[in-house]
Amino acid sequence: MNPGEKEQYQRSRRYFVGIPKGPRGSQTRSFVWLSVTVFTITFFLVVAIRPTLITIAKFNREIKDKTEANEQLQKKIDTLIVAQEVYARNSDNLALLDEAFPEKSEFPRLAYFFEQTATASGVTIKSLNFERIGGTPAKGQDTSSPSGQNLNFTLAVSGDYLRLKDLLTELESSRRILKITESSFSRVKKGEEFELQLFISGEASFGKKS
Amino acid sequence: MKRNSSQEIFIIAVFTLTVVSLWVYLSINKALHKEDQPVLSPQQTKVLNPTLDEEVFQELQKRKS
Repeated sequence: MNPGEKEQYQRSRRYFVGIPKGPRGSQTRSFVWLSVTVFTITFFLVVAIRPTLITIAKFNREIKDKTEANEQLQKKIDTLIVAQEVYARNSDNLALLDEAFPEKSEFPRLAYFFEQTATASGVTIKSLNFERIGGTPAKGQDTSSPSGQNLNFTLAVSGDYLRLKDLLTELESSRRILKITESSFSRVKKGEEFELQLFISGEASFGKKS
Repeated sequence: MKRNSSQEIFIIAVFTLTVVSLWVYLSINKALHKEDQPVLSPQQTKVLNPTLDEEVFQELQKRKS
């Protein structure tokens, strides 16, 4: 500044306005306010928005799970209704199922059936044995099946071949479910004559495994 | 370029917001896919088969008791 300009400045100094450090101060203020805004957003994101969104997500998931459960239960209810109809239609036939697969061993009835069938077939019962119910099975011998227990029996009858064969057929077509596990013919000398004997061993299922 | 302290605070704020946003996203994702205990037990969801072979009864009736 030369002396002339300096003098002129002194004269007109009162007309000058002190302008603050404009651009730099304004930029700082902007950054500060922007930072405050960002921190505020962050704060509310942590304390308000996050818990709210998590709750919404959990409810959504719960609704989805419960809707699926509802569908599954509805499906089950539908099948139960159908099963109820089938039961009502076949309730008269349930006695047949009890005969085929009784709850208890019913061995007197089974013995009577063997006797009746043997008489009808014209053969003679030589022996009839039932395994003791509730007894401890021998090692390696499983007397129970997945659906119930088994009553093992052995039957020895004598007669001619055709009648013995008839007896076997009758036993296989009995209403009580019998599983013939073994059958064998043998000739036994009785006095002067030979007698044909049939040995049958099998099992009759009963009851339900608890 | 030399940064002043307000710019540094702003960068920290933006970084914080980014990290928090990521955390919120992961939290929501976890809440959506979390394997909670099932509403129903397997026994409750087990569907019965209502079909019945009714010919068995006819077959049983034919047999001797």
